Amino acid sequence: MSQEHRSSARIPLELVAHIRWKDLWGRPGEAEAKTVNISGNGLLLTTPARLEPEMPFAFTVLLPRAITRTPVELVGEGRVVRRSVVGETEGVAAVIDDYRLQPLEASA
Amino acid sequence: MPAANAGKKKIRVMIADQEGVFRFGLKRLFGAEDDLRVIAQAADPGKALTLALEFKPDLIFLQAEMVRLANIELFAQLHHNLPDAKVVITASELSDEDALSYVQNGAAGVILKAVDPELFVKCARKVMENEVWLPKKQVAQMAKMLEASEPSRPRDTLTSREKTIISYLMQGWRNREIGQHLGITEQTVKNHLRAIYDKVGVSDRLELVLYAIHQRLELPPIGPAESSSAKPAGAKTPVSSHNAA
Repeated sequence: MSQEHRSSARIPLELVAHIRWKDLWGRPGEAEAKTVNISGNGLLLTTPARLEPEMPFAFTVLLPRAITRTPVELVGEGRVVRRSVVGETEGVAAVIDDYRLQPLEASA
Repeated sequence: MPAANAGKKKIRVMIADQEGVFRFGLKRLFGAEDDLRVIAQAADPGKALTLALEFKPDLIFLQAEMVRLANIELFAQLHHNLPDAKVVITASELSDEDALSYVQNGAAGVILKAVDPELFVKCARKVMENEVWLPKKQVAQMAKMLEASEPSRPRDTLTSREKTIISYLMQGWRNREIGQHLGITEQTVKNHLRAIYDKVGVSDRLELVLYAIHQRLELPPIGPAESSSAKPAGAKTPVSSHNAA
């Protein structure tokens, strides 16, 4: 029985997300996305948006109300690590640089 | 084999066994290896504990009979006073239940005296790599027994207080706010969080929230403040990743 190191496990969760970014020329963009999995320090998203590696972006993920009881969003900033293909859908793998859990009424 | 292990830090071994021939033989066996060194031998439970505390071995081969003589106190005391030392129980024969019991109580392994001597060397090295050593015939049986005796899922071990704290976390409350609402200190909240992280195997609050969602944890609703100094409902501030624990 090898000793296990606690690592940031990727938890498979399909949740609706919204992402915002600025391209190389500073032009803002935003798109809908869907999470494939999330961990304490990263997430994998499918999105039609074409984000390049190293590109910073902001994200908002609506957490399921069945668990949170009241609407709560995971709001954060991340950076694209690589583009990824999930099934037949394009996506991005990203590092989470910062995040906060925000009840929806607080963000209104 | 010795050449491959030359240069590695030596594993300091103590042999605690009533049988002089066994102690002699094991010492000779380990003496031929570059990475194993017997630093102490004990022929009775009292001596075993005294020497273990004095010499602080990395690995102790402890005779099951000696443990029985000392009414299992010896094993518990070794485990308590030398938490980093690996203890391998040796026996001429041992029931599956007893073997399981030792492992469940912290033994790094169980080895029967009748096995090929080379297996003692292998056992020593494997347990120092944090593996559990078991007699071959018991591995499958023990796996079944461990499965049957496995504690309930991590989420089933969460206390109601811990589930309450997770509820607050899901709403974005800070540790200080949770403490004020529950009438406990911020440090107590952090202590609860660390215990929760250990139980469910996560390392921060985001992972915990994700775990709660993924496992569909049944969490209590946030109740009325248990302290008069609690923050009024609806005035919560967002929790950032920089919030400790």
